[in-house]
Parts: sequence; C-alpha cells; structure tokens
Amino acid sequence: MIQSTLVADRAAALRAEFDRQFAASPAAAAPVRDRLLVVGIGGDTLLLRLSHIAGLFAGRRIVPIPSAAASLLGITGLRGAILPVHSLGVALGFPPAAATPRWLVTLASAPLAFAFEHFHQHIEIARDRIVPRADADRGRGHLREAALVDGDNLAIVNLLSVAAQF
Amino acid sequence: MFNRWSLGRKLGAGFAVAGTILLAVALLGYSSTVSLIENDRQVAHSRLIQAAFAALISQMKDVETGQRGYVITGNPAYLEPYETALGEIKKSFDNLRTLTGDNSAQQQHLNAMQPLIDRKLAELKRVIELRKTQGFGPAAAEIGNNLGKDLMDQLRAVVVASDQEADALLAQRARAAETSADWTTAVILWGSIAGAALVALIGWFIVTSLTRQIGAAVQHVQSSSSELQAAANQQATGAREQATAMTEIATTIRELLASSRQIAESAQSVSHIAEETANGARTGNGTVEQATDAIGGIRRQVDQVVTHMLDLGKKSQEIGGIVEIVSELAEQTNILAINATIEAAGAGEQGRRFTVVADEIRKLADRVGGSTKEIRRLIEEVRSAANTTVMATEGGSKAVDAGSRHFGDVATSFTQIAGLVSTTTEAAREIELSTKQQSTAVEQVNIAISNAAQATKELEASSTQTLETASALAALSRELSAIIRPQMALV
Repeated sequence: MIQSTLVADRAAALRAEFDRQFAASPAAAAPVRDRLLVVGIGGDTLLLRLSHIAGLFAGRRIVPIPSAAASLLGITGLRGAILPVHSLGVALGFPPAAATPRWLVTLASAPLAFAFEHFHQHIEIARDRIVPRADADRGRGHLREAALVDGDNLAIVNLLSVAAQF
Repeated sequence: MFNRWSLGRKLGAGFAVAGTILLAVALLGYSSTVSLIENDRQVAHSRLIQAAFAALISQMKDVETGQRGYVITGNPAYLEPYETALGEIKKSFDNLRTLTGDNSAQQQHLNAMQPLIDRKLAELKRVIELRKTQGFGPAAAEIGNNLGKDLMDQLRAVVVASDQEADALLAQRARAAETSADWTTAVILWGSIAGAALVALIGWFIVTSLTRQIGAAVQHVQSSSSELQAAANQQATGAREQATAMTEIATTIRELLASSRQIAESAQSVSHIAEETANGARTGNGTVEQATDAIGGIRRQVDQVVTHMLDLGKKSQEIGGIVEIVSELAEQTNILAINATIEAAGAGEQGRRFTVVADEIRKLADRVGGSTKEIRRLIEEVRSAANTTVMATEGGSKAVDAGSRHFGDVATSFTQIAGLVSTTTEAAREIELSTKQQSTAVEQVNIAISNAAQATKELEASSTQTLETASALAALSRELSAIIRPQMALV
C-alpha cells in the first residue's frame, strides 16, 4: 500500500514537473555549461563529452568482421550509414568485455561508433568544474580531463583523440 | 515299688494300714466288750432268775408262815401275809416264766414247780379252812401229815436244782466272760502294741521315704527356685527391654500412623490432582482436536496464501515485464532526448528552445528510468518477498502438516495421558483406600502395641512378683529343708 502510494506520488510529481516545464517561459542566458554522458567502461565510470557525439544508440546489432584491430567489434547500420564499431574500453586499454557492449555512440567528427557497457545518465556541469587530470597517461593518454560529479572525480574520455587512432 | 508311690498314696496307705489295725483292734475290743456286756447281762439275768426263784420260795414261806401263824393263833391278822403273798406268787411265777422263756431247763423246772405250788397253796388253803371251820386240832393234824413239808421240800429241791442250773450257767458265763475279757485285754494290748509298732514302722518308712523324696523335691525346688529366680531376673530384664522396645515400637507406630495419614492425604490430593489432570487432559484433548481442526483450516488458508503468493509472483513478473517496457521506453526517450539535444546543439541558436524541451524530456526520461529502476527494485523486493513468503508459506504448510501430525500425536498422547491419568486416579484412589485401610490397621496395631506394652508392663510387674515369689520359694525350700534335714539347712 505504501509502495503504491509512493509510485502514485512519484507519477504525480513527474506529471507536475512536466507540466511546469511546458508552462515555463524560455530561460534566460545561462552560464557556459558542458553536457556530459556518464558511462561505465571496464568497471570504471567515465564521462563522454556530448559535443563529440553525433548520436546515442542502444541495442544495435553489431556484425563482427575480421580485423587486425583488437578494438574493432564489427560494423553496424545507423541512420542509413554503415559504421565501424570499436570497443571504447579496449581502445582505452581496458581488457575486453565478456559480452558485446550494448551502448553505442557515433562521432560527429568521424564515421565511427564506439561501444561501451553501461550508460548511466546525462549531466550538465559548469565548464569551470572541468579540470586537467594529473595522471594524464592513464587510458593511453585519452583521459586528460576530469570533472567532479556527485563527489567523485570522474575522468573525461577525449573521443576525438581516440578516434584519431583509427 | 513304694518309691514310685506318691506322697498322698504313701500317707493314705500308711493311714489305711494303721486305721485297719486300729479298726481291727477296735472291732475286736468292741466285739469282746459286747460279748462281755452280753455275758454280764446274761449273768445278771441269771442272777435275776435266781433272785426270782428265791423270792418265789420266800413268798411261799410267807404264805406258809401266815398259815402257821393263823393256825397257831387263830388270829386272822396272820393271814395278811398269806393274802398278800398269794397275789405276789402268781406274779412271781409269771415273771419267772417270762424270764426263763429262753431256757428250756428252767422252763422244765417251772413246769415241775407249778403243780407243787398249786398243791402247796391248796394244802395251805385247806388247812386254813380247817382252822377256820374245825379249829386248831384238825388243822394241826393236817399239818402234821407232812404233806405241806414234802411239797415245800420238793419246791426247795426244784429251786435248788434251778439254782444249781443257774450257778452252772453263771459259772460257764463267768468263764466265758473271763475268757472274753482276757481275749479283749490281749487284743487291746497286743493289738495296740502291734498297731503302734506297725504305725511306727509305717511312720518311719513314710517319714524316711518322704524325707528322701521331699529332700530331693526340696533340692529340686531349690534348684528350680534358683533357676526360676534367674529366669525371673532374665524375664524381668527382658520385660523391661521389651517394654522399652514396645515404647519405641509404639512411637514408631505413631509416626507410621502419622506417615500413613499423610500418605492418605497426599494420595487423596494426588487423586484430586489426577482427576483435575484427567479433566485437563480431556479438555486438552478437545483443545487439541479444535487445534487440529484449526490447523486444517490454517493449512487450507496457507494453501490459499501460497496460491495467492504464486499469483502475486506471476503478477509481479508481469508488472516487471511492463516495467521493463516502461524502462525501455524511458531509455529510448532518454536516448531520443540526448540525440535531440545533440541535434538541437547542431541547429545553433534556432535549436536552443528545442534543447530546453529535449532536456526536460530527458529529465523526465531520467526520472522515469530512475522510477522504473526503483519499481524494478520494488518488484524484485515484492517477488523476493513473495518467494520468501511462498517458501515460508510452504515451510509453514509443511510445519502445519507436521504440526497437524504432531497435534495428532499430541491428541493421541492426550488420550494416552487421559488413560494414564485415569489409571493414576484409580491407582491413587486405591492407594488412598489402601492407605486408609493401612491407617486403620496401623491404628489397630497401635492399639495392639499399646495393649502389648501394657501387657509387657504387667509382665514386668508379674516378673518382679515371680522373682519375689521365687525368692520366697527359695527361702521356703530352705526352711523346709531345715525342717526335714537340719544338717542340710546349713549347706
């Protein structure tokens, strides 16, 4: 009874928030903020810049193909284009996952897609909270920045430098 | 043989022999005395006959004297003796006839005297008549013919013969009396001597025998009295010990009586408790039956709960499926919102408002996703709780089955308990009854012990009296020994 009451309250709160957002006037100019995706790769929680991503997808079929690149998982069809899919974890030097990663992001700068295991959430933080990391060699040099999220200092994956390898 | 005779027999035999001798002597003396008396009576009788004969002759002389006097004097006064003697003569003659009735010789003498007397009296009368009628002369002449004298001589001769006969008889009786007196004297003398000697002999024999026997008996009595003293002492000691033991036994019996009463009360309490337990067992049996029915109801309800829980699990799975769909929708919405945001960012200033909308949509999708996660978690918890409840319910069902079986066993046990308690109740009642009977018996035993204790006290007193009596008997035996054997009294 209590759980059903909580769910009903939650639904009512969601409904009220949705209505409020639609009823609100356009927001005024906000300070510069960067949008980031919180993902899980190789047991770590990392951040992806939304500005580097052209699209987020889940559960897409990946067709394996033979390749000398260890990170290449296969190819997939996204929005009418055939894109190679690389394991972001392997590209960052993590051991390969047991199963095929479920999540995919496509890059805006290159016809590539990176796969990773988990997608947690989409966050927006002030740019001044993004700082360079001291341990810049980690992740094969692709984790040079970090941001403080909910008390944790999470590394930001530089998808552009990763894509530059291929 | 005499040694085997008893004291009374010996004394009786001795007194019998002595009495027999004395009786024989007395009988002989009595017989001799009687014979002497009879002889003396016969002598007196003979003397009386002689005197009667003499009197008769004297009367005859008186008659003749009177007749002679009258004849001589012619005085009638002289006839007075005559007249007087006439009557006496007849009486005397009859008296003699009576006195000599047992003597034929004397009877013959009287027979001989009677005609002589008649003739003499007739002669005298005739002379007197002659004197009266004819005078002195004829009368004297008649006298002178000696008839009268002859008659008198014949009478005297008869009287003499009678006297001689009487004297002979007297002499014979005198000898017989003398012989009888001698015999009597001898009998009395020698009989007395012999009796005295025999009595002395018997007395000596009896005294000797009695002394020996009584001495032996006295020794036996002394030894027996000593043993009796010892026995009386032992008996008195035993009686005192017995009295003490009886007292202890009485005390123990009283304690036993108190214990048996307590046992009876306890048995009664046990009986009451057993009855209450039996009632409780019957009530418990009924309760168990009710509980068994209730368990059956619980089991059915548990089965329903299990069914409902399984249904709940299925529903939860269905809800989970729906939630998965919602989650996927939220995820897709989030993806779309993110992609819209990306696209809006690519649209520049024109896409800014769309970015806001996409952000709101994304936030909603995030919240929906969070809510779906929470719902999934809750569903998982519900499913886990349902599974746990099902497992617990199945366990409960098994427990209920086991409990039902246990309750069945408990019901059986209650039935057995009720039976055992009933048996216990009967046993307790029997114990109570037996204990009451035992109490009664113990009371009787107590009374008997009291009586026995009283009897023991009396026995102790009696033993003391016996001891005193034994001491007195010992003293008496010593005195008796001193009496019969003075020299032994010093022993």
